[in-house]
Amino acid sequence: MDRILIVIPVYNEEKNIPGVISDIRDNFGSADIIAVNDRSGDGTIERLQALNVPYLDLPFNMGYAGALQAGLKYAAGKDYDYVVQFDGDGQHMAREIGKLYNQIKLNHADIIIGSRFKINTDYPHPLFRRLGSKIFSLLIRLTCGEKITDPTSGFQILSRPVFTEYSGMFNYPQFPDANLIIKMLLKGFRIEEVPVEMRRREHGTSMHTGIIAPAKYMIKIFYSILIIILTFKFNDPDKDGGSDV
Amino acid sequence: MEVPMYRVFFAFFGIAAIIYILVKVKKNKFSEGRSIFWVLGGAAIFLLSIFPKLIDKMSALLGINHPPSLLFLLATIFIIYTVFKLEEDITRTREQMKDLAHRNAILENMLREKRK
Repeated sequence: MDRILIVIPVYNEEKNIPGVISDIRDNFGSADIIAVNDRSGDGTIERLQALNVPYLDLPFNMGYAGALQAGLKYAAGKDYDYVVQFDGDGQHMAREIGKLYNQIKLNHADIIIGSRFKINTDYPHPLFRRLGSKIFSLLIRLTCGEKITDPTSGFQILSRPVFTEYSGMFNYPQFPDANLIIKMLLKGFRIEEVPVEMRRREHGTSMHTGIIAPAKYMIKIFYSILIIILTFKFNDPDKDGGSDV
Repeated sequence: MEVPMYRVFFAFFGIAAIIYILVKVKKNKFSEGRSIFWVLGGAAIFLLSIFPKLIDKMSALLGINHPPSLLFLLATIFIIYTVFKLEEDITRTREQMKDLAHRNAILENMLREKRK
């Protein structure tokens, strides 16, 4: 039996986290859970303790990627076989984890992404996000020749070589999205998608709200992709190329 | 020939800067590797105040009409290089700090699990 770890980065999710944990325990109870508290200012940590969920408590706020990477290091140190990246805000559904796991086992892939766009779901797609996803998809197809419909989905299952690689990566990107997918594809990892359903956020706000933040995000991702492509075009691909965005 | 006051001032300034940096290194308040660059900067100020014609000669060599602008150019390059080096250091330090924080969080978790 494979050992699976579900990594849940959490930042101010005291309202959402009890639902997320009970969802996982009810629908994918065989996996272990590690929550990574990114210096929440609310009662998130007390909720985790009350729910008896193992957690990592970061000494300062590092953002989503910093918290996620802490969970991946934990997984690498404990020799897990697979890691599932799961959001702490209730958007991801635990019953969909099985789909990711089945596909990664069946196809011997390295990463399976839970895609919102592979089939039509009732997930609400703001125009900007949808357009962003389309552009990133196109970039991935142009650079790697692979079709990834939902490159911004954080709902993924990673094989051990992948999360070991991520956990040791210097400059693990601030936004691990299309840039990281392109990098891993260029390195020869197999990435596939499986259609999943997602929910709307129940409480709190997303990290991509407003106009300036998404614009900065797009610029950083484009820049990151540019650096990755340059690294692979002009360098030894075994060397760790990347950017600090 | 009378030496202008400002040249005396800058010659002393260059020497004072070098002494200040070396004292800092001696007290372990400034890294040895980093200090070379700054000592060279102090030495450049000292040399130019003693031999101001150096700048004129270099300007002529490079085809710069207005010699003082070469001085500003060199100073700007010095500053930009220093800022870049600092950014490089900050990047590395930030990554190292992140890794330490991760390890710390994982160790804390192990301690908690042991206590249970």
